[in-house]
This record gives sequence, C-alpha cells and structure tokens, in this order.
Amino acid sequence: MSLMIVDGLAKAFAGRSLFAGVSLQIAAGEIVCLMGPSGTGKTTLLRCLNGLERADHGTVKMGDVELRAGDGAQAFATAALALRRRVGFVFQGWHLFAHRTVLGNVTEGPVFVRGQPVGEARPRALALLEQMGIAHRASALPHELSGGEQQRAAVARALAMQPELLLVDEPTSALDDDRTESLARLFRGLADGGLAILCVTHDGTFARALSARHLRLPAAGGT
Amino acid sequence: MAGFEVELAAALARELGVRAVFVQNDWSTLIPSLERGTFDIALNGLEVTAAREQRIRFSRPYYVFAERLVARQGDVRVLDLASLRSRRVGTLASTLAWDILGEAGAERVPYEGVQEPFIDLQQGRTDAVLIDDIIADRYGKRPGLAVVGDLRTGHYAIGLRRQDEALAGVIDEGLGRLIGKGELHAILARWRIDGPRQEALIAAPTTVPGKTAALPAPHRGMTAHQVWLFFQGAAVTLLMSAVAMALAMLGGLGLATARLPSRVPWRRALGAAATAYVELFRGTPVLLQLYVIYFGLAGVLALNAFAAAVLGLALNYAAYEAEIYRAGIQAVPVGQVEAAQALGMSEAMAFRRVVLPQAFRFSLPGVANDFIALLKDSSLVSVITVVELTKRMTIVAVDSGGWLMPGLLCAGLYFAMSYPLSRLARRIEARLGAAK
Repeated sequence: MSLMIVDGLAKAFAGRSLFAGVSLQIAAGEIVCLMGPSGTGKTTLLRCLNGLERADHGTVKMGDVELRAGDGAQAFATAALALRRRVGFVFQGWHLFAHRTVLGNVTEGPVFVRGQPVGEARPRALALLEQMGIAHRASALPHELSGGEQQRAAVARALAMQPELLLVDEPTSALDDDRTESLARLFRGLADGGLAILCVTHDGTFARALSARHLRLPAAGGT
Repeated sequence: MAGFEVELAAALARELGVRAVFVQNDWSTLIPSLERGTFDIALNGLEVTAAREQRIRFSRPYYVFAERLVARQGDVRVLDLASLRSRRVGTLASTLAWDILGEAGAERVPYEGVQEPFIDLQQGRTDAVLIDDIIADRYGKRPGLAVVGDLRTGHYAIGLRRQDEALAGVIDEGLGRLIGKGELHAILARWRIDGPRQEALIAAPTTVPGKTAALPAPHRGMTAHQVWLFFQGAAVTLLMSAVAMALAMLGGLGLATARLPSRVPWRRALGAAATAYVELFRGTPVLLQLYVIYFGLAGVLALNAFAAAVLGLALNYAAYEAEIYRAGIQAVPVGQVEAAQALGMSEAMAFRRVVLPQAFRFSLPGVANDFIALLKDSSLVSVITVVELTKRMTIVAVDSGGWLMPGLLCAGLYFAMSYPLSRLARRIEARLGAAK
C-alpha cells in the first residue's frame, strides 16, 4: 500500500516549466532515487512534497492529509504542518541550528514540536547519535563538525521525529567514497525497519548501492 | 538679548567710551571662561562670595539681591532656613543659594533653567525653592506657590581677572559715576527691580560685604568626601543606564517583532506604528524627549526625576535597539527557518526557537556598543535634576575651583564602566566570527 501518493505535480519558474505532470507513489520501507541532470527541478520537487514550496498544480496525499496546490494560504499551511510531522527532510546544506549543540539539534523537534519531556528525548537522541556514529560529538556546535558529521547530525535530527518518510537532498555531495558506502548501508538499514526514503541524487554509484527504484526527472515530463 | 544687565553693560560702555561685545557662556562656567580670557568682564548675576573672591576681583556691587524662599501655598513645614534640613529644595547649581542650602543640610536639587525649579515645586517633586529674588519675582509667580520670605541678602558685582587691577579701577569708577548720576537707578526702575534695598549701593560705595575675612577660605583640590560623591554619581549613572538599557532591549524587541513583514492587516498597521515610533524617537534629540517627559508631561505623568530619566533614555534607545534586532533577524539564514519548519514548527515557533536566539547573538556587539553610548548619553539627564556622574563633576569643579582633577576623575570613572563592556563586545564579535 502506498504511503505517499503524488498526483500531477507541476511547477514553473519565471515562465519556464521546471516539471509537469509528476505522479509517483512510495510505499513504506521503499527507497526511491530521483535522478537527473542539474536544473531539472529535483530539489524543487522535493520541497513541494513537504510544502516548503507550493506547486502550481497537483496534490500530495499521505493518509488523511492532502496538500493541494490550489488551496488557500491558510488551508495549505495547515496541511503542510500536518504533513511535515510525518515527513522528515534532510537539506543538501544540512541547515543545522547554528546556536544549538548537536544534541540540542536532535532534541529540538521532539521536545518543542511533539512536547516530549526532555528526560525522554535526550536518551533517545543520544541513542540515535550512537547509531549515526557521532555520539562523541553530542555537545559540539555545528560549526565545529566536519561535513560528514554535520550530515549525520542532520539525519539524526530528522529521524528523531520518527517520520514515516524521509526526503533527502543530494546526501553524497560532501562525502568521500567510504562515507558514501556507509551512508547507503545506513539508509538500507532504515528502510528495512520500515522507513520510506525519497532521495534526490545525481550520484549513480550511490543510487546503485541503495539498490533502489530509480526515477528520472526529465526537463518537463511525467513518470 | 534683553535685561537690566544688558542695559547696564551698554550704559557702562558708553560711560567709559568703549563698545560692549556680548559673549554667550554657561552661567556655571563664567569664572573659568573669564580666567581663560573668553571675555574681559562677567556681568551676569555673579554673587559676591568669599570663595569667588579668592579667584577673581569683584567690582563694587551694582545690585542688592535677596535669597527668596518659595514654597507651595499653605505648606506650614517650610518656615525658614532651619526648616529646610533634609527637605528637597530646588535652586540653580553652583550659586550662593546652593551653598546656603548645603550648609543648612537640605537635599539640594540642581537646575540649569530658571523656570523648571518652580514647575517641580508645583508638581510636589520638591518642597521649596531658594533663589535670587529677581528670578523668583519673574518666574516664581505660579498658581499654588507662595513666597515664604527672604533669608539673606547679597550683592551682584562685575567679575574681573585678578591681574586686571587697572581695568577693575576704571570699571569701579564708571560704575560709581552711573550710580552717582542716578542712571543705574533708572535702569533698575525701568525693569521694576528698584527698591529701598538698593539705597545701600550709594550709601556704602566701597564696602563689599563678602570681603569679611572670617568666612572659611575655599579648599583647593578635592576632599575625600567629594571623591566619595563622585563614586555615588558613578553608581547613579550605572544603575540608571543598566535599567534603561534593559527596558530599551525589551522595547526594541517588541518594535522589531512588530515590524516583521506580514500579510495580516492588523499586523501591518502595528508595523507601521512601530516604524513611526522608531523614526520619531531616532529623529529627535534625547534631550528634548527628556524635557517633554519630565516637564512637559508633568501634569499627566507625575514621575520622579530618576524614573523620568530611565524612561526617557529607554524610549529613545528602544528605537535604536529595534533597528539592531531587525538587522539581526534579517541576518539569520533562511535555511534555518526552513529547517525549523521541516521539523513541523509553526512560523511563530520557528521565530521564537530558531530565529530570535540567533538574531540576538548577531545583535550583541551592536547592543554592547549602544550600552556604551547610553552610558555617556545618560549625562544629559542632569537637565531634569538627576545628579549623575557628569553633573557631580561640574558641581565639584565649581566648588573646588578646578576642572582638571574632577574632569580626569570623571573621565576615569566613565572609562572604567565602558571599557569592560567594549572588551566584552569585541570578544563576542570574535566568537561570532569564528562561528561563521
């Protein structure tokens, strides 16, 4: 059964169509790679899936939550907020909260969005950091981390919200081959646990290592 | 420019065959300005006192004044000099009345203008005003106030440099001729300040009452007590600045938040109001704002001087803090907000949890700089009678007869307060630089 159903999504920018008629379905535990050359709107599409950007046409449906491009501002914002509680997002630039430690970044969502007591959120966050292999950096500030560590922290931050689907934008751009390999292993393990992952990448090796379904986004076409 | 002393100066110049050139100068610094040669004679209500006679040469007197005590109508507590002990009494700083009140143990409230002491007396901010009768007659006749009586008489005389003995002789003679011809009396009569008291000017032409040697000589240099008063002044400056800055930061945060872009109509209106506030308070002098708050709004907002000073500085600096925070908010990368939203935070929560803490860090160096500026701007509040560090310096300088030591001590204390702050600001900046 599909976890997320995307139907007829289209977006133009400055009069130029980025993508049109994009429809896809993702099931729980599935890894989907969104591939294609630069400038085809892969990142924009990803951002449309959790409402960070609004498509011109189409819908994104996840259970009883439906994000409709044509909705009014208030209805769209409400649906986006509901959707984001089930969908994690890892930015290409990570965007870790610069004023919080790694641990603070990971507990921020559970404590302030979900209302979890700090006493529960902290051990869970530490366990996640352990799983990511950066528990020893828990009290470091983001600017003190290497690129790979920042990425792991960003993944941990997203996973701490216990999402059903993880959207990931170009995860390997700052990683060497070893790191790329271990990230693929991590994602496969998460998918085995039931998490769906939609990953924008132009890295064929990484995509193959994920042994995932591959989708290409042409200049203006459907899938 | 008009006044009986202006006419007297003109008449004296005519008598001596010279032309009078008037020079604008603060009353409290007449003597140092005279000494350094800014002008040759000081003819401006300069009271003959033993302390001043140590420094300058006085001419024969040209007016006999009285120290007049004014209180609120029906206030039976204010009777005489003795009854002023521990009461708040307004007068002009560094005058004879200031000294008299000091000896009487009154809590002196210093003013720079002649109208303000009476406004504050009406408002109940002081219990009495002791001031020269000439001023009390002209400015003290306000509803609800009454003259209690005259405590002491004294003389106005022309001040000259000690080494200008020849000029002093010429002035004395010229003044004597004006008195002899009745011209001085005519001037006083024209200004309706003549009276039987002025007969003394003719009767005792050479006697200057202040010359009695029994009065204690003025101390040169500063006493330990004066140094102690300096530290008190510094404490007032620091406390006032700290409270004002805390309020300014809160107000600035409110203003900056109100000015965030929004599509909601009422929020846009609020933003426009906040913008108007910032422009108004940034575009007008803080001195003016202090005056309006303390004297202008005295009828509706009965604040004491310290509260008015804190409020005035806080309102003014809130406008500057608002701009600093606004810049700080704009400096937070948009990715930070998106990361917060991607976690499911509402716009308001993302602002509170992610934007604001970072904006505050970006703003800290600017805020520290503003605190240093406020520390020094706080010297302006002396116009509404708060005796802070700079005011204490001018009072002590006039009392002790020298500006160098009090000036240096004052500068040293300001520096001691502001330097740690500027070090702190630089350290924060360095840390932020490393974080980028």
